[in-house]
Amino acid sequence: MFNLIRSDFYRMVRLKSFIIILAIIAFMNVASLLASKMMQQDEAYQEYLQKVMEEEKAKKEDDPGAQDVGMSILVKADDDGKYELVEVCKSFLSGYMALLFLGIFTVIFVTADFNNGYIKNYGGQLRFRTRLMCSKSICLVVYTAILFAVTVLSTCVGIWLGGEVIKVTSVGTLFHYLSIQFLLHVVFAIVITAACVIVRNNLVTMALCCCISMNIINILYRLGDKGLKKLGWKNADITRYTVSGRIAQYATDGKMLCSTIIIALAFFAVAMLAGGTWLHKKDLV
Amino acid sequence: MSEYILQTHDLRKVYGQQAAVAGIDIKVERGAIYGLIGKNGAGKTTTLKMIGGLAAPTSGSVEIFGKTGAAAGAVRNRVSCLIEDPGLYGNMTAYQNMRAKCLIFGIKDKKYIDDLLQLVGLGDVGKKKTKQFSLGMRQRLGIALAMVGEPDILVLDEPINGLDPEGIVEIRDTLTAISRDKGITIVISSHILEELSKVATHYGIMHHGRLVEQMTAEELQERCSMRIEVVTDRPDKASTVLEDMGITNYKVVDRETINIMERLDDVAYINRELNAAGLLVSKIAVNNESLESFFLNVTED
Repeated sequence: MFNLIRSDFYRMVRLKSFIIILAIIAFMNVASLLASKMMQQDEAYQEYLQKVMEEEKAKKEDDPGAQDVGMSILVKADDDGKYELVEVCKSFLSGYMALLFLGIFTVIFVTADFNNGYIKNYGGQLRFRTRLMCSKSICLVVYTAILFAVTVLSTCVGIWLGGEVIKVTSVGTLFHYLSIQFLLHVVFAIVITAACVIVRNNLVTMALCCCISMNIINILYRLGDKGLKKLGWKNADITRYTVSGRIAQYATDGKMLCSTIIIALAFFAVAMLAGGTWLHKKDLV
Repeated sequence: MSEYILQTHDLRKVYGQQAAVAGIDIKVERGAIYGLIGKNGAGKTTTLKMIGGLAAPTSGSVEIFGKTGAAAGAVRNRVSCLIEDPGLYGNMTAYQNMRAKCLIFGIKDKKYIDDLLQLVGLGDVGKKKTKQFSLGMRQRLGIALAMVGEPDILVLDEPINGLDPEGIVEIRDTLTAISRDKGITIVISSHILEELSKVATHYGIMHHGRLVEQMTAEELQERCSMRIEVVTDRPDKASTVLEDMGITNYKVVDRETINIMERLDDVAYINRELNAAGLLVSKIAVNNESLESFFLNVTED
């Protein structure tokens, strides 16, 4: 198993997309922060932004079930003019920026073996092909950690380049937030890995990944909610029971934290079981 | 312990209503180069995938080193494959592709990889990316990848397909070297009997998912070589006459036919001697069947 992980990791770090995606996300983070800085200095834009946000708020009050589609990243300084690191990280992580790129990389990494036929060079020699699912998942845990490090570092660099000051009011809060987000992002990557293994079509899995990380899948969730409401579940909200839904929220209290971990573990178990079983039972073609 | 290193027992693979492999019994001796021949769609690749553990049989079994079922799973790592095209990472060098596979087997020795690349004639490719390799080089690298971990059985699916004559010779030489130097049993498929005849020691001919013939190279040679075919009323007496003439390389095929594999220019002389001995010769002619026509006859619908 350890040898399989080493081999998967060796191939992972040699994928061009390994570096390219990290470079893109670093660039996007820095560019977003610098653009935010420029916009904050523009009073007319600030007024426009304020107006849009109020309109959005009013719309949501009128229709609580309304959902945003697309990616939303909003970086704001505190009243003292300093940027709270955890809040900036929230913008990029809970705003699905990292999720989108993690999903894209997962699809590229997992389907690479199937697409180029490399898996046929060793798949038959493995006694338990389920191990492939485990080794790829472990590699993606490492990649997620690197992605998070790049996100936090590029965020700091972006703020510094904008001539602003970063503050960390509570290291505990930052650690807590990043830990939960890390867990959820890893589980998301494993769910996409299982989808890649089962579907074996990178176009479909890439589309699925984009739909989840760009909130487009919320349209389906809303339809599901309506159906469940008709069945009698008045407060139905499927988003609350999904990994991506939990990424958008910040588990502050113990109960929410507990439910977030349970949801993450449930998705993890189902994805590992489904992907592992599929790999073990299905032919490698 | 079975004398065969690899056997299949009524091996079947059904996709939907279509039987790709319809119950075949292959027997491969240790150290043999077993050529699996058949037209496109005969079921060769599916058979090799089942042997290589990439596909599960619908029914029947694959016996490796005398083990079947779960026990065969334990020795599955001794069977290595190159199925269809050699799956390579184009942005990686030959060395890096090899290293990735070596890591699965816990092999870290650089010399091991260098030696294998040398064996398949890719010792001097340096840092060239595999996407820049010719088809022949890619196939040879695929064979080297399959050799990682010193397998006992090497399963190669049409490794000469699409290659130019030079590439075919390279692959043939590589396989001969592997068999000779490493003593590895090779199962190789092709739809070109002529090409396999230069390396294979045993043959299995597949048609419509069935194994229609299984023979040794000697048997195939016998079937396809030039010979004088004599049809007579008394083959037993004819053999005495032939031996009196000093002819020993002959074979009584059936109740009326004898094949003589030597002195092919002496047809008239042999005919006269048989007649002189009182035998009725209804046919005597030099015949031969090319490998191609033999294959076509065997796989005729």
